[in-house]
Amino acid sequence: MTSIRFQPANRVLAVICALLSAGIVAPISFAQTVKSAPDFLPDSTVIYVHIDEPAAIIETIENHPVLNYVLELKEVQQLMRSPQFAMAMLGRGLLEQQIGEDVIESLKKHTAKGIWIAVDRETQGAMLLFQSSDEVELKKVAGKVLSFIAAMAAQDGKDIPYKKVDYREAVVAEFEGLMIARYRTWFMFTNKPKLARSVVDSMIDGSDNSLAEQDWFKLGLAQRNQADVWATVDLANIRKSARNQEPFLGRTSNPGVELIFGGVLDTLKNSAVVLGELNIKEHLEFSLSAPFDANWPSQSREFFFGKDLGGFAPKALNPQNMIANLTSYRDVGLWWQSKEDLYPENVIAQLSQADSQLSTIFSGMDFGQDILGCLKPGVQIIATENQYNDKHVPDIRIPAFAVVGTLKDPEIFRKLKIAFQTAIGLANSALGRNGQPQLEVETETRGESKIASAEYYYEKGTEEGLLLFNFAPTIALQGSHFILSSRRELAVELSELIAKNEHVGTEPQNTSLKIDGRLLRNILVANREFLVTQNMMEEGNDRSSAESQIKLLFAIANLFQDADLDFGVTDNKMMFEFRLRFNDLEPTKALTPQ
Amino acid sequence: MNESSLSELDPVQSWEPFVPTPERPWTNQLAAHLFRRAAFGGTINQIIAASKQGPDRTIDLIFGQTDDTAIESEMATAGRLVTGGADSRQLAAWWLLRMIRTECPFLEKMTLFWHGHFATGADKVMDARAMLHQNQLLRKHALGRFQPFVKAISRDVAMLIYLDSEENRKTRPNENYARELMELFCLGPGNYGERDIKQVARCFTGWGVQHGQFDFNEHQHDKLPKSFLGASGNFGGDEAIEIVLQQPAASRFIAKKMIRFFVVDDVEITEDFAAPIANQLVETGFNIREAVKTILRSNVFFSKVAIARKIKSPIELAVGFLRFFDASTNVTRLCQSLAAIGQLPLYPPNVKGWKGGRSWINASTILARANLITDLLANDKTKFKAGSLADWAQSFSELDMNNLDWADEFLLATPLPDATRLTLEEISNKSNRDPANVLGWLATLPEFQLN
Repeated sequence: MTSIRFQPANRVLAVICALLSAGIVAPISFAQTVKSAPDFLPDSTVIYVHIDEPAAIIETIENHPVLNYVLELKEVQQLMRSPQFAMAMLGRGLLEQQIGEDVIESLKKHTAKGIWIAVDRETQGAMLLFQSSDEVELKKVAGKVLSFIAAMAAQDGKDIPYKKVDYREAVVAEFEGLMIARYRTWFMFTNKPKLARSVVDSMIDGSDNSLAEQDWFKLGLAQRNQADVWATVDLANIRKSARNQEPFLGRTSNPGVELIFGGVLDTLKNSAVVLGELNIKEHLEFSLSAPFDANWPSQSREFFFGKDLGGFAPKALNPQNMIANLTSYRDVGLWWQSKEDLYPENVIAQLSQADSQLSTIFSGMDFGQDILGCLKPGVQIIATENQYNDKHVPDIRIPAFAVVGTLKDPEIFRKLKIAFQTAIGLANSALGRNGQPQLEVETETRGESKIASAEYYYEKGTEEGLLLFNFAPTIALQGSHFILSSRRELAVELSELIAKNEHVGTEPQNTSLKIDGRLLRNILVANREFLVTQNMMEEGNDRSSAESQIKLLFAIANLFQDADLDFGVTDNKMMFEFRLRFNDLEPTKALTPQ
Repeated sequence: MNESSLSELDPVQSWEPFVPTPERPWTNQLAAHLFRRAAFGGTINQIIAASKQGPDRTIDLIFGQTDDTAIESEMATAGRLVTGGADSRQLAAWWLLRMIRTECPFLEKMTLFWHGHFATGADKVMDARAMLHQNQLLRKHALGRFQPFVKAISRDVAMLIYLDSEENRKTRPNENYARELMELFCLGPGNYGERDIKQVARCFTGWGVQHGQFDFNEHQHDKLPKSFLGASGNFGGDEAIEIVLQQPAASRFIAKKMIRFFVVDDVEITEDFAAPIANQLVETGFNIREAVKTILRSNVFFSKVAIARKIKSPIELAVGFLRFFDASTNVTRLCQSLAAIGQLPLYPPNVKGWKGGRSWINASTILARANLITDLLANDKTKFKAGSLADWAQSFSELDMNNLDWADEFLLATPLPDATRLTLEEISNKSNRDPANVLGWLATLPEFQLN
């Protein structure tokens, strides 16, 4: 098969056209403004995004191995042979003929001084601005683009889809639901004409009360780092608009959300701004930060931050074939104890009811006080590739999971073991009723580790491929570390790592997450047949189309080497950092799973 | 044969093979009728091909259909995958997918017939794998001989669970299975007594499920003599089935059930009328394939007695619609729609199965049936092999899509009244001849509900 190849300068556009023609992304328009856009944007702006050097980003993307990889994918090549893509490329060709230059080059030139995106609270409008380095050229190109749109409409026997009006010294074209305007080197798109007029007025007359004058914006600007894309959000005004609704009240009625994000809610309640940065280099880095005050969190959030913000996640364990590891400072016992301060009455009642039901399962132990309360702060959740007994391989393979914590008193492991045996007994009762294989509990001591595991007892005639073959529930104690795992093998491996004190870790954080892209992809590949079946059943595809889509999914998964996320606080800052690294990519056939 | 009620018919002539004549020629409409009843409907191309081949050749082809090994293997794997957990609704979706994709829709229609006959509900069985095995068993025996079929279904794990045979001990024989064996599976009401039920129940004592498989517990089996339906002896379950099927009522009962399913279900099927099919069953050792073949090639099947005299079941409505347009869709979502109008596969309302006939239609289901079709048309997961529905319409250059002749000829069981047709054609013109719009309106009509 002959590959369609594009010159580097055209690759970005080729991908955008391919995606547009496949309906994968909605059409968006690019435009841009200048260095002093904050001086023109209204004081009611609540979201501000700035791309300082769009041309550099475009070049990075054009030359990025990911782009080469995507363009070489068989499925993308097929997309490029579609009539829709051909139409898009024809449209591009006609447009380039009209403006007399390559679209991407034109885009780089006319966004040379920056791109801005703003959202305005007062008009409920959004605006995309860019600023060109050449006013005369911009005027010429803008005119030609409008002529091109008019010609295309005429060719289809339709009326010109815009109304051209002049507003003061600006040239404005009003489309249905969209307005574009040009003033000198500035070009803007907006859905609200009032917003465009306000910005043009400020450009002509100046403004004493623009976004640039706002305290929140200055606060954000003061903390700005060098980034490809930089954004700041007026949290105070958004909070006001949200009218005391969750999560801006600093609380949530959802216990799961509280456990995971509880501390972030303090920031949403109190901080004036949130800052965002995106860097597109070889890899992708994204961060969110916000000013933070150690006095903001209530005492009930000590479960989240620790005393005096001193809570740090345990150092990560790194078993073989680890797909993901989430390590976090969370005092789950304290969280449960604080529920009266954290949640409304109805949620507290539900949690109390759950506590009572879980106590039955756990041999009469109080779930909150005895089970969660026996753990010290700090918890890890680990996922690894599963290992199977050759005879009993499930058709649908899911990773092995483990939760690792530390017991306040290791002696309580004996009670936990009894609770475990009770829970397995109840499970056996249900499994037996349904003719399913039942669990056989084994206890063992390996070195200093105490392990209680429940393996399925397979009799002759046991069905093949059952989902439950993914599980062999296990608890283990190594020193004071407690492990609850879906597989015995994982619990044993973690016990050994703990015994050897083989933790890995970098700077202490409140929460860290690591994901291995290659192993995640392996899980997808191992479930290929299931994914194809699901695709046929859910997407209405025939087998060949379903296989094609799943192959594309694998190919996309193949892009990612790994990702990590860190979350932490200092005395004055809350920080969330996400990094996504790509594989060393070569054009790709060998990487596309068959 | 112009009569429209069974009492006016000569049974012998009724079941003789239909031979086209100049007065009663073999047409697209008759071929479409055959495909609707024997399967879930044919595509336009299949119907045109069948009208050229004639009825005998078409029926032979329908009976000779087999799935290619790729589809068979693919569906077997998919069935196993979706039952790896315990969700039988996923299995119901899988079966719909199979009905839509199979190259042997006649076999799936027969499987559906037997699922209604040996009705077993996944909501009680609560074991998706057992339901899959039963579904495979129904397919395996669908066109075989009835006696081995009944013996196999009596050992089926899902059936044993559904009819509480697990509790069938010699000290407390469970009468559920014995009762349904005679009332619903083999003889029909009035052909046995309460005493027969108790005796037959004793024959099945010890039959149960152990570790998810059929198990005969000899110690729980009643080994004392039993006496029922004129026979006496130390019978076990298999012998009980043989004795039940030796009753004259058995062949009549099965013949009537098949006639109701394939020919007409809103009139009483008399003993005389069913006698030729019943006799054939007896003479062939209850050969299901031959009996169904006689029914489908008969004069009465291609007469006014049968044509447009049945109401499409929800599954026939949805699967037939998709197969007609060579389309597929999100079958999980389709399951929800089918449940709303009363027929989710694997979830019959009770051991009697679906009542069928006019019970499919009431004030709420008529609207929901139309909505189901509208939803299929609007759903972006509905994929037409030809591309879009408009592409499908354009792919038949020989057909004039600008009027509704094509619907009368291929899609509907009975032609549209002139006034309705004019109204629909006006709607079509107003909507730029959008086929989806016209089909949406068609789906609201009584004619669309007929099979």
